Amino acid sequence: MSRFTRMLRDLPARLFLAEADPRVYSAVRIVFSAVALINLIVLWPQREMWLTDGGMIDQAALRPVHVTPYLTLFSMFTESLGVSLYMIFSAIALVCLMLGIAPRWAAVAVFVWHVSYATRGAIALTGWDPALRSVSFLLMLSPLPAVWSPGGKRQPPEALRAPCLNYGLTLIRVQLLVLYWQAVLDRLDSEFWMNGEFMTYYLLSHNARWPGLWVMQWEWAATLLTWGVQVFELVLPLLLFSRRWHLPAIVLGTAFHAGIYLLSHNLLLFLLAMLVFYTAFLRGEDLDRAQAWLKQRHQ
Amino acid sequence: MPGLPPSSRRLLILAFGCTHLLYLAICVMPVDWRAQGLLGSFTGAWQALTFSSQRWNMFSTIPTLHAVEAHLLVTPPGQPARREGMLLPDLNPWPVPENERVYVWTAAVLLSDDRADQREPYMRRAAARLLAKGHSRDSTMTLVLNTEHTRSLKGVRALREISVPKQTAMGPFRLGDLALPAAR
Repeated sequence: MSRFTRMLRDLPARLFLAEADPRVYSAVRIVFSAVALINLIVLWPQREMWLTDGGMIDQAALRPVHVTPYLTLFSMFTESLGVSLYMIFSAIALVCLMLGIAPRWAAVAVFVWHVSYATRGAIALTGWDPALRSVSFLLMLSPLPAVWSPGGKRQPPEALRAPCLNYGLTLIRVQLLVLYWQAVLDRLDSEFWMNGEFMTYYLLSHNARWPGLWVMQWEWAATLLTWGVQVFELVLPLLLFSRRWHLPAIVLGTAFHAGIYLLSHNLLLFLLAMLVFYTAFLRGEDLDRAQAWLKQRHQ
Repeated sequence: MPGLPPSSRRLLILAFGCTHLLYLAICVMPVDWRAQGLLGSFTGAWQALTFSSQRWNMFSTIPTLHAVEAHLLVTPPGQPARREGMLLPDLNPWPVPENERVYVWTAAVLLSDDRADQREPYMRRAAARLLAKGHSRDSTMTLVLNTEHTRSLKGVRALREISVPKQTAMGPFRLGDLALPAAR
């Protein structure tokens, strides 16, 4: 059997059944729950607008044309009180998931929350909603070790350090690659991305934080930025997957989305949602270094 | 999967992992490329099963609006028009700064025909809310949409002006007529 054939044969096991540091799963669980909780809190004042039958979206018209099965708990909770109670329940589930209390049940409840609000509010979804929903699905099926949870305090240290299977982390990482690469390929159809005019239009649009004629003095920079975004989103996932470059890639990716946030309004949650994905690219040795650094600071 | 023997558990994980990975790999392609034939059937079925839609076409083309705002105009018989907010259920005004979800809804329902099926139910509920607020059944209601359309870059350079204003309106409709089916 050739080396290549052997590599292909072993690939599924390497991708899904190799050992992963349990702390990385716990870090993803904590960061995801925190971001999803912020999303829920931001949605709270708008709950009657998007999630009740008196709001902006007509459920009867939505149901027959929904792309996936129309399954949402908001079919039952149609009035303000029910919606509010269900959101409070979901917030509690998110806090439980963050703290690692009954994490599997909490993860299921959190996934149901994401499917429910995304189905009911289908016409008012933003980019970070499907990003959070995709992580909630994978997290629900991933190992949820007891590290950094109350249950972990009762376990011996060696049991806490026992490695987990890596399938969940692999799929979350690949999900990020799909997010970037699909967007890059999709834009190849757009003349404005190809001729470099996209960012100038973006900075003049209602999406921009400071739209104004000043943008026209920086057209050359906006053109470079347009092409730069395409190259960046193509290369970043590859760097994230590499052992050597993953940390600089996490820093670069965070800076990239922070830049988008600075130039736009309303995109803070998109930046935060991307941090969830970047957390999945951390490795055990990164957390060792971070823990050693923290220990040193507290001595 | 705590009840499963380790070998079955690993097999199940491999099967799920490989299927989801295949799904994700296909989904790297833009939506139009993968919607057909066998690929479309597989991705459609897996998406329905896992609720993990893969549409990441953020800003696939340019945003064409420089600004947008919408409101309702209510005109009682023989009286001047009164301005009301258009956000249901409380008839709140258009949010400043703009709210991302409100914009997404407006783009789908009012600015394009993507979700034109939501327009009539929206107008009927808005009418019902206006009646509940004390407007008379004989008053008329108009949804006014003010948009600023970004000029071409050539135009912006030449005229030193970013956008062209445009106003569109749905209505006027008599509140009593509009709210009737929703009240049944």
